[in-house]
Amino acid sequence: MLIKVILHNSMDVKILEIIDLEIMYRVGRKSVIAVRDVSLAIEKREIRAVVGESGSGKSTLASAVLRVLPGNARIVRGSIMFDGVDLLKLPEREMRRIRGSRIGIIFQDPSATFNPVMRVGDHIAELLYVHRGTRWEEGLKVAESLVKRFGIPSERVYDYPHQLSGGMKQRFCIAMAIATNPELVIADEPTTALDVVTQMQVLSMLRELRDEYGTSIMFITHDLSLALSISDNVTVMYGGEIVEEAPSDDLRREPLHPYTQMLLECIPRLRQRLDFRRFEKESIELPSTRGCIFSNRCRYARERCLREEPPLIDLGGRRVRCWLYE
Amino acid sequence: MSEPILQVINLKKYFALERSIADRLLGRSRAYVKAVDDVSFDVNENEIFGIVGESGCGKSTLGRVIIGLLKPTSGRILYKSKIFNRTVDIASLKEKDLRLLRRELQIIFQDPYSALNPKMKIGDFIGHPLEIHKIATGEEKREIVMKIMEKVGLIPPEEYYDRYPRELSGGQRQRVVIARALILNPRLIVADEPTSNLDVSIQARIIALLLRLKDEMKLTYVFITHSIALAHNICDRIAVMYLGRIVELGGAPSIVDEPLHPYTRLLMRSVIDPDTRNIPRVREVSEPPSPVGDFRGCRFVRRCPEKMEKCEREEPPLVEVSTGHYVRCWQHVKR
Ligand SMILES: Nc1ncnc2c1ncn2[C@@H]1O[C@H](COP(=O)(O)OP(=O)(O)OP(=O)(O)O)[C@@H](O)[C@H]1O
Ligand SMILES: Nc1ncnc2c1ncn2[C@@H]1O[C@H](COP(=O)(O)OP(=O)(O)OP(=O)(O)O)[C@@H](O)[C@H]1O
Ligand SMILES: [Mg+2]
Ligand SMILES: [Mg+2]
Repeated sequence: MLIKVILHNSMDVKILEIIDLEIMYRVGRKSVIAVRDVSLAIEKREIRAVVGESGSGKSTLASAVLRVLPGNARIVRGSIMFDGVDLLKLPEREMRRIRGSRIGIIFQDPSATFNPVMRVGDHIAELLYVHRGTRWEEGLKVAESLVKRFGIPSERVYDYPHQLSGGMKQRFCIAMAIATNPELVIADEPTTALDVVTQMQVLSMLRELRDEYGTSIMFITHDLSLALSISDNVTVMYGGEIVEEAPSDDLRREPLHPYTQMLLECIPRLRQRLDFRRFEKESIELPSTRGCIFSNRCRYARERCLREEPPLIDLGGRRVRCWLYE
Repeated sequence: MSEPILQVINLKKYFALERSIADRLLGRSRAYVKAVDDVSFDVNENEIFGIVGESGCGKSTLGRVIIGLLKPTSGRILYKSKIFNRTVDIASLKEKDLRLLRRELQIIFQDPYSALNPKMKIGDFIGHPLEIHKIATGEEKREIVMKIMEKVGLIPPEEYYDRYPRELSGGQRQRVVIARALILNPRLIVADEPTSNLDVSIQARIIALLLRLKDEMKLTYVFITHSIALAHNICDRIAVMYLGRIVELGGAPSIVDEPLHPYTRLLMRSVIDPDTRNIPRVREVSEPPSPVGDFRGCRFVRRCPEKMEKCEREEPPLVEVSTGHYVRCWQHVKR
């Protein structure tokens, strides 16, 4: 077993490879596709940002990797290879050994992570007890030193979740996610609830985690500036599909997909004031169900875009799903 | 100038921390979190008043207190009410009157997960205030709800009306929360990070919507955000909060063009610039601030790169440096 793991480590540079994934949700008698035609690979030591608007399927993707999809979700097809093993084929018992231990999790909603009747530090102690057999008292000490690195006074590990502000709760979640020194950390909007100062701190912590321990990070966010600043590569999702993927520097310099271009344009900057009112008229419709998914919001949409869905076109080093680049 | 719609005067909100048995045996006194500590400001009718500051500085607490969801420890909140046709002090209003006032004062919460009722269809959730205040029921309610849903981008509304919160993604839920806050045609809305879960292309449209509604419905917003860049883009005036105190207050352009407080400058430095590479280096953060206990001196002193000896001993007063631009820093106090 040990030998097999070492072999995988040395041979395969990919820590996570998602292949042709499709996921549906049942809502009443209807089904909605939340993730479609998604293939992406994250390398060891890579920080990959997955960026996309609300409802684009980012959390669904993360939940699929962790196998914590809600009951009404169904994986229609695809595989999720983690360090050479298809997670979707693993028995739950083995998955539990990976989840929270080899794959760390930071959720979007910090309050959902906590048991309201447990002190926040107990959560970390429990995790270390379950996965590492660490004594509880010792676990609490680890929790104290961990949270201090995130700018929280150590005595606050003895507080209950409701006594902390949203930002503090989220920093606790991050401390929890890295407590077991995982190979991959999936961070779903980890800094959404944070102010800019704490955000910087968390971002540098995640960077350090990669630089020091070689941890791969899948950083899910709707904030493109954030995505660009922390990641090596960015995957842009829209309506459950990947619409663009590129090295962060290339994406910043030259966004190709009209959706990515729109995002870069709407970022509030300190230098000039954006005239928000001009966006009011623009559509905020759901992704189109015919032709290109972005066609009903796209400034460049042509006849063909309304009819025919473009494939994810490989441009060598980057990918884009748009007929403009055929 | 007309009387402000809201006058917050020496407002305090302290939370008592739990005392352990050891604390009791040793006769230690109760410790308090001074979430909002002696805050005063005015909000003018039809303006967007921004409150900016880092996590835990008391923004949400302040927002809740000023619309009467939380009782302040002390202080006054004078609000020029339409329903009562006079200025009332929200801090000392009776529960019954507060309920009436709720029609005029609304809040859009930061956390859409805890704000929503998981067992309620979102259409009914949005329309619930119409029933509570006996304004509309049945088909009539449904119609009003559908209109507001369209306004906030839950399109087509009939597809969303009967869904439950768990069937929506985070951003869609935030739109539900915004819709509910708007349904009673309020006058003053505390928007507590209303777009922090949305992507910027949708944020821009929601902000555009909030701006249009502000004009059409003569709304006033207290806009809480951790993003000084966003506040700069939409607010008329900005108050910068640090550990329960306002440390700088002024017109949005002057705050950003001439930030006076070292903390405001820190906030500005840490804005991520999408046009350049890398995470800004922020060195000041090493010492975590704690709102617990008593303070001597300036609250920012432990993180301040420009601190002087006096800052440790005595807290600076909030002084007006130029017209309407206030700062709480010894560097700007004239002897
Ligand atoms: N439990 C569920 N039941 C039914 N539909 C769901 C469920 N969870 C998510 N969906 C739907 O699946 C789609 C993708 O949702 P998901 O939460 O993955 O998006 P997201 O990109 O994480 O969005 P956000 O940025 O708002 O968190 C959305 O259309 C959403 O409404
Ligand atoms: N019910 C409570 N009991 C005890 N302390 C509380 C309570 N609510 C808030 N606090 C404390 O008051 C302080 C201010 O919290 P608040 O939620 O107002 O901050 P915030 O500025 O909105 O932060 P964030 O950006 O994280 O939302 C924090 O230290 C918090 O822990
Ligand atoms: Mg999500
Ligand atoms: Mg808050």
